[in-house]
Order: sequence, then structure tokens, then C-alpha cells
Amino acid sequence: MNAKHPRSISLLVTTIVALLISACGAPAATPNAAVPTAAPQVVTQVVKETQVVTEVQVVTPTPGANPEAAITGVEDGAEITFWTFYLSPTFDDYIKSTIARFNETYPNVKVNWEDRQGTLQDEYRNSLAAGNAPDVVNIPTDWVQEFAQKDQLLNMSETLPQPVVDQYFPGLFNQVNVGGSSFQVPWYQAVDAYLVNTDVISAAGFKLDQMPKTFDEQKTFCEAVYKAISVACGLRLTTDNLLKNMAYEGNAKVMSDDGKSFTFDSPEAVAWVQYYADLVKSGAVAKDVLLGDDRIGLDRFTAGQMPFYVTGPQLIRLVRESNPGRYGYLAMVPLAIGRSNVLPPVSMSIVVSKNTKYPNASTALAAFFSNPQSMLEFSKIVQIFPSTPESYKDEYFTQKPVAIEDQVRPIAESIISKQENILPDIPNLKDVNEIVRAAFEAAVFGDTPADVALKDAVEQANALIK
Amino acid sequence: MMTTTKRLRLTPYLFLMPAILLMAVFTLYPLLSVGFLSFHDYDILTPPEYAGIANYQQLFGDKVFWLSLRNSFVYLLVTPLIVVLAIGLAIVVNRKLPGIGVFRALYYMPVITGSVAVGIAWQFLFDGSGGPVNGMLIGLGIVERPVVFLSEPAFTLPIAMLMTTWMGVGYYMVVFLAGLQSIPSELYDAAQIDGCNAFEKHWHISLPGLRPSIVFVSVVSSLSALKVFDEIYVLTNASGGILNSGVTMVFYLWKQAFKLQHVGYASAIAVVLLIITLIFSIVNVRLLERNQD
Repeated sequence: MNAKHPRSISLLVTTIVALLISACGAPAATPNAAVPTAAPQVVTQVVKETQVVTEVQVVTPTPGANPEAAITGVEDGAEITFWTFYLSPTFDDYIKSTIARFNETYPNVKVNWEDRQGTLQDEYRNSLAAGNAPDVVNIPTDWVQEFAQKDQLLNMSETLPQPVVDQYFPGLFNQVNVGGSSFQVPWYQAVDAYLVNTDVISAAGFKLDQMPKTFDEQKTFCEAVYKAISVACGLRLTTDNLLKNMAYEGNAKVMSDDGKSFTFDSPEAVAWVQYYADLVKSGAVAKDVLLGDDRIGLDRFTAGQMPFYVTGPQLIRLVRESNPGRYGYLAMVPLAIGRSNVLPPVSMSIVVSKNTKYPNASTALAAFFSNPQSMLEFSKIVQIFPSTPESYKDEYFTQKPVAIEDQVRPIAESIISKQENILPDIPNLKDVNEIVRAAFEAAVFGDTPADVALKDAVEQANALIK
Repeated sequence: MMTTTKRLRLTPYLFLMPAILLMAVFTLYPLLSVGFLSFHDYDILTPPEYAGIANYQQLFGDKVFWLSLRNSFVYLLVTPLIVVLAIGLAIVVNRKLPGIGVFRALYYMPVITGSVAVGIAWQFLFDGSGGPVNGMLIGLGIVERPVVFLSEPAFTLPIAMLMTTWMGVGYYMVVFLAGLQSIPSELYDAAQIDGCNAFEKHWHISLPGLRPSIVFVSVVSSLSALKVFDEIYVLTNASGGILNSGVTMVFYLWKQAFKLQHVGYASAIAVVLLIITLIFSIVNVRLLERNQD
């Protein structure tokens, strides 16, 4: 036998063993941990793994016509699965009672409810690919476009009867535009506002009524606070869709009218990037909050290290729990409006999988959970807002606010009714966003001039759609 | 009827069968799938479409891929650091002192702590507003204002490398400790009689005795360094860091596959990583074995 053989075998064995041990060494992708929140959220949170809660609701129906029966032709004996996002266990009672009401309305439909958490998006995507997707799913509205563009969702503009479509604010029903149609029904809404630390702004010489009203005043305010007390503002961008911030805040047109080229290198877009470049350079905005996780900003605000944080009233509870002493210094005021003069929707949606065996039963459930009565009941137990104008006629929305969390409630309808989508149907959104993000980082955190960075980015983005 | 000779010949294969089946399902099949997908466009939601070598061609012009490759090789600096620190620790805890078991357990704690928990703790350490590291630097007068470490491209990779070192050193310490305890104590006694001091004893006896362990640790830790993911994911909140400063190959392929749904392209990256890892391991082992001869 050749004397080199034992060494070669030893080499091979060592290599294979090392590869296998190395492969087993560290755990696989472990998404960032986040505290499961009791309040429903319109921001994406990522946790280590989904906790699935399964409930099967079957009730005895009450006879007679039901005013909530908005969908006809619901399939007899239908059994549908409904996934919600981060709602269990806090809202178990609400979900169960709403399903019970649904079963009274549609007696021969069985609903299997499961609550999903941090891995919902991946799980839904994988289940669609595997052909065993849930029939009805609650997802953040920002995710709808991906599934709609890939023809995985039921077209709600075509499926829902007009009276059901009319129950929503038009700007919310049409907030995701794919091929001119809506592929979701708007569920609960949030209103982003300034959650203000009055203690900090007082130290900087400001009063509550001096909070910025416009995007440009916001910059002046942050620079003044930083100059006075060296405390940076905690502005945070939508990292999954920077074009959204660019359009609403900067009034930049991101695509040509014919949808054949990107236009986010316009003077408006450059000015928007320069706005943040200036703030970062002066130190008036916290760098790690700007493109960071929501948790970083909220934690820092809770610790009393920021003059304000842009969030919804539903998250005040987290501040109160983490730092009860800070609660007395909190106030909520409307968020400064961007240069577009339009407010972006901050929304949760319900979608129906296109390949469901029971399209009518599934559509009925989606419409039922988002009908005025269901929405009103939900908004009474947590600080979220209905997508249905009818719900606001209840006196609950005209009562004088008592708690800080309630301060937005009386003005919620006027804010939500003005929310609308101004973005076109953007092809390859995720890839385009990666390009925009790289350009933004190069201009704001690097040395590249904003106009050069955006011009280069537009060339790259255009190459994707040619 | 089967003869005894035939039965004896088949017996080892039957014993091997469960392991071979598991390997086939969980290693071989995914490996072949990755190879297959690397020649396709695949976004999970729609069926794969044949793309030829387009994914591999795209790699050549992808600046982020080359950056991730560079970052992965920079990450290999963790290996010598871990080897030196782990040997040092192993020598320190290889003593018969009261309570030494407690110290050994403490050094091992980071190994069994979840990387997400460790990542959050490290985020807190390097927090840009009130983290202990900034507190220390300001206290010592080294900086005037807090440094936002995790938003500074220059710091992302070094902090992740430090975290990897801290998490891994306890594990490799145990390997070296076992190696040290297998060295006959007579050798140290003889060295002492010959007039060696403590450093010389370790230089002339411990290190040569630990050579097999050093080979093992070097190969395993460098392969782990090449496939680092958790640290980057947690420290950069799944972004890869400002200007992709912390993007490594495995992070980049994860991002392409699961964030951007370019599964075919991610598979091409995985194939390149596999080739690099194989070449690297063979060279690594061969060099160390030659040294041993």
C-alpha cells in the first residue's frame, strides 16, 4: 500500500469531521428577540420563534336574518383557517367572541384560529409555496404588495360587494395598489403621533404647543433641542420601504407616470436625503435610531433620553411599564406633516389566499372582522382605531380623553380619513429598497453627495425593470 | 438462505444504514438541492426557472458579495485569538485549587448562553447613549461624547469578532484542558529537574502535547468563523450594518434567500462558500500536519 494513503484518509476524515462539527456548532438563524407585546402593533417585530395558539370555535347559531351577513353564497360546511399576528393571549377573548358572532351569522362555517408571531411572514410565504396556506390572514399592510404582485391573494376589488367596500375609508381600502386593484381589507389602524417627554423639551426651553407642525419645523426643532441640551431626536425611518418616507416626507415622485422608470433622483428626493444628512452630521438625530430597530428608539425614549418618539398610543403602555416615573411627563401631539401634505396609513390588513377552497366563507370572515361593529368593539379594549367611518359615530370617540393614551382618540377619525397611499405599484420593491437604502447610507453616513448617490441608485433601479 | 459469510459482510452496512439515511436526507439532499437551485431563478412563491450560469455571473459584479467575502476572511482573525486565549485559560484552570470547578463553569457559561441573549447584552454594552463601554471611555477621558459604536461601519465587524471570541473561548478551553490533562505529569517533573521555569515548561511540553488539539481547534474555529451569522444578525438588527459593514458570506446568502427571496442567487453564494470552505479545510489540515511531521 502507498505510504501516503493513511495520511490522505486521515486528512479526508479530519476535514469531514471538522465540517460536520462546524455545521453543528452554532444554532441556525436566530432572529432578534423582542418582547411579545400585549397591544396589537403595526410595526414589524421579530422574535426567536412563533408561538402558535390554536382555537377552534363552534357555536350554536341563532335563527333569523343577521345584519352582519354581508356576503352571500357562503359555502356550506366550509372549514377555514384564520391566522392573526401577535394578538394572543391578550386579545383571546375578543377574537373568540368575534368568531362566535361570525358563527351566529354564518352557522355552517367552522373557523380554526391560530395566532402567529415573529415568523408569520416566512410561514405564510412557505405555506403558500407548499399549497397549504391558511385561508384568511392578518398581516401588516406593508407585506400585502409582495403577495399580491405574485398573484397569491384574492382580488378584493373584484370579490367584495360594493356595500362592503363602502364600509371602509376609501384611502384605506385602496392603500395597496397592485394593477389598479386592492388585495386586502383594512383592519385596525394606528395613528402615529409625537409621544413627547415634556420634561426634556422644557429643559430645552420648549412648550408642548411649540412642537413642530411640519417636516421642516421638525428639523429646526431637533437642532434647537440638541444645541440647548445635547439631546438628540429619535427619528426613525421605514427601513423596509424608504421610498415611502421619501414620498410622504419629501414630496418626491418616485416613478414616472408610465411606471417605466424611477425618478427618485429629483431635487425633492435629494433635499429629503440631505435633510437627514444634515441632522446626522450635526448630531441632532440619534444615528442608531434612524435606521435601527423600533425597540432601540422606544427604549431610549423610555429612559428619558429623547425629546419625543414617533409612535402610536398603543405603545405608551410599554413606556409606562418600563419607567412608571416617566409616565407623568408624557403627552401626545399630532405628528408633523410631510412636504406632500398627505398622511401615510399605518395599518393592519386582512387578506384571503387566492387558492382557498372556500373563497366566499373566507371573504365573509375578512369582511366580518373588519366591519364597523367588530372594529368598534376592538378599539374599546385597546388604543387602535377602526378603518370604518361608521364606528366613529359611537360616543366612545367623542368622549373627553382622560389618560395620555386617549389623547389622540377624539382626532383619530379626522386623521385616519385623510390617510391615503400616494405610492405607485413599485416593481421589485425589495430590491429597489435595498438600492435606495445603500444610497441613503452612502449619503447620510458616508461622504457621497446626496445627488450623486441617488443618481447612481436610479440607474441601478431602472436596470431592474428593463 | 443467506450464508454466514454474506450476513457478516452485510452487517456493517446495516449498522451504518440509519446514519447514512439521516445524512442523505439532512445533508446530501439539501446539498444537491442547493446545487440545483444555483442554476435557477427561484423566489419560493413561484416554481424555479432555469437560469444557466447567470447567478454565478452576477456574483462577479456584485460589490456586496466581494465585501462579504472580504469580511468573512477578516473574521478568520478570530481563530488565532481564540486559540491563544483558550490555551491560556486552559493552563490557568488546569490546577488543583479549591473552587476551580466554579471558574471552569463560569468560563463555559457564554458557550451555553443563547446567541440572541448574548447579542442583546453586547448591544447594551456598546449602546450609543448610555452603554458601559461609553461610560468607561468618557470616565477615562478618552472620548467626550458617547460613540455610537454599532452605527459606525469601522466598529461593526470588530465588535462581532470580539463577541464570537467571548462566546467560543470557553468551549475551546475545555478541548485544550482535556489535552493538557492527557500529558503525563512526569514530563513536567523532568523539565523542572532540568531547570525549566513555568513558561519554558509550557513552551516545551504543553504546546507540543497540545498539537492535535490545536489542529482540531484551528480547523473547527476557522470554519465557524467562515460561516458566522448570529452575531451579525443580532448586533445589526438583521441589516448587516451601515454600508454593509458587517455583512459576511453566510449573512449575505441569508439576506438574499430569506429577505429578498433570491433563493437561486443565494444558492450560488452557498456553492462558492462550500468550495472555499473545502479548499480552506484541506489546506489548513495539510499545513498543520506537515508542521507536525
